Amino acid sequence: MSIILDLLGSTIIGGLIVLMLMNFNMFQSNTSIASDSELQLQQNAKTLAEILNHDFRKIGFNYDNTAFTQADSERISFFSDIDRNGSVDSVTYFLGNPSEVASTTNPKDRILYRIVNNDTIRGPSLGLTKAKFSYLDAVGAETTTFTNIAYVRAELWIESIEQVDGQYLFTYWEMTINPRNL
Amino acid sequence: MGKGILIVILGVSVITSFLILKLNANSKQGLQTTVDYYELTQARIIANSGVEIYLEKLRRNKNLSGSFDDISLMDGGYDIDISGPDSLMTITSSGHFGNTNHQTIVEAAREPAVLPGVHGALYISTDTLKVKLQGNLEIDGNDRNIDDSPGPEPAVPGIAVDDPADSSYVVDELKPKISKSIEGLGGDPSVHTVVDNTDWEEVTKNLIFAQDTSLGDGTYSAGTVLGTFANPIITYVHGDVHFSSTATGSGIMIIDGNIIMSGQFTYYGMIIVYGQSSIETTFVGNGGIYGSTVIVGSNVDFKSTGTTGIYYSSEAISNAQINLKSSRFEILTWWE
Repeated sequence: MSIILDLLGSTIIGGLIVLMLMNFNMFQSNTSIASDSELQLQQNAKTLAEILNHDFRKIGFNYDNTAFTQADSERISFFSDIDRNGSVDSVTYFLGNPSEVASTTNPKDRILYRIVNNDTIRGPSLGLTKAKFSYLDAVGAETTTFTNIAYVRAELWIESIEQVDGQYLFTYWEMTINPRNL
Repeated sequence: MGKGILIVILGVSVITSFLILKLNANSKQGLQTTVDYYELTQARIIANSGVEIYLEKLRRNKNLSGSFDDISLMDGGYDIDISGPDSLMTITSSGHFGNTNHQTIVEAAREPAVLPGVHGALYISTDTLKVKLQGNLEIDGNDRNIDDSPGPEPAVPGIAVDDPADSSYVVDELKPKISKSIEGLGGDPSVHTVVDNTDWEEVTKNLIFAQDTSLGDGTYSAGTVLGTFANPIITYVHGDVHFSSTATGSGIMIIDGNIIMSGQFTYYGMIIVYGQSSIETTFVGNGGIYGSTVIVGSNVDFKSTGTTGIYYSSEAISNAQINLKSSRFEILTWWE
């Protein structure tokens, strides 16, 4: 009888230890995934910011007339000698539709399109779910008049491309750029 | 039993260690991402600041050019290269911060110095005018070159004033001998009223901003050189000055104070006396001013008792216009 009790007790204790180990393994796995996702989110946000920073600071470079051809909240088009080769390029930024990104589980992420002349570059989504462009004049007031634009403000909403603990991680990046050639 | 527990504990410890290492590595990478962006921003700001700093230096040193390396700024540094003529200068600034570099390339043009229009060999704008002309003074509105040969431009008034009353006053004050020495537009005495729309404060402010040299109160004796015909300069005189002996100059001289010219003072370009409400100008020597002389103030007391010549010279003025450099730049392109 005591042997049966010993076996039963050790089985229960052993089972509890195994369960605990499994739980711990899941925890460490989730923690690792969350950490990786956060890092990726941070790197994606930085990459997007660098791309916009690089191009927006060159708005109007080597171009004498009004640099903007479109300036609304979701689309921006401007002239610039963006590759510094002596000829003026037309550059357009806009967001694609969420349906274009089928490779990620996030239903809201979209692709940021960058069209230079007629050459469209579409990279991965980088988790961008929303982008808003606004335009400020020399004293910082919002304007829609192309010739008055002195600053371009870009706001980016970025989420992780995969869920972590049942939800998407989120970050927001805002930058106001003063293109010196305007 | 004891061995089993030991194995479990070791296993948990190993898993925990891996987790901690993983989290630590991610944390480091996350920090590095932030640091990279910070360094990139700092390098860009340093490169841009380098351009701004050297534009300011170019304002003061109008012949500055070449390469200047390893200049420290904001815990980083930058190298500068300035090349090209004033009409199209290229300023290349390479900023570095930490392990990041950024290059800013700016094309700029130095704007020309803006000279006011010429109303006469001597133009006096004032509310209260007092004139005393004696000696062998000569004021000539006929264009002449600096070698005294005739110039190509049409004559301007010898003396120009704003108010017909001033014109009459000057003519009445002139002694017959002096009257024949005021030549220029319309024959002697060439004293005429002109319409002046010049913003003298703005003109002088811009020229003072672009000054190449400045003089304070004092007596300046032999050897004073304020520019040459080949290299005219903008001279700003703040205070009362006395050029007492042989002195030469070329370009533009803005005088904010009273002036006495004795001895042999020769100047090629424009002299503008402006800034004080009450101005005393005394010419007692035997020098000559080739170009145009302008006196603007509420009360002007103009005396000449020597053999001074005040001549209109389009050659001297255009030489100043061509060669004088302002301290303002137009940024043509900015690549960053």
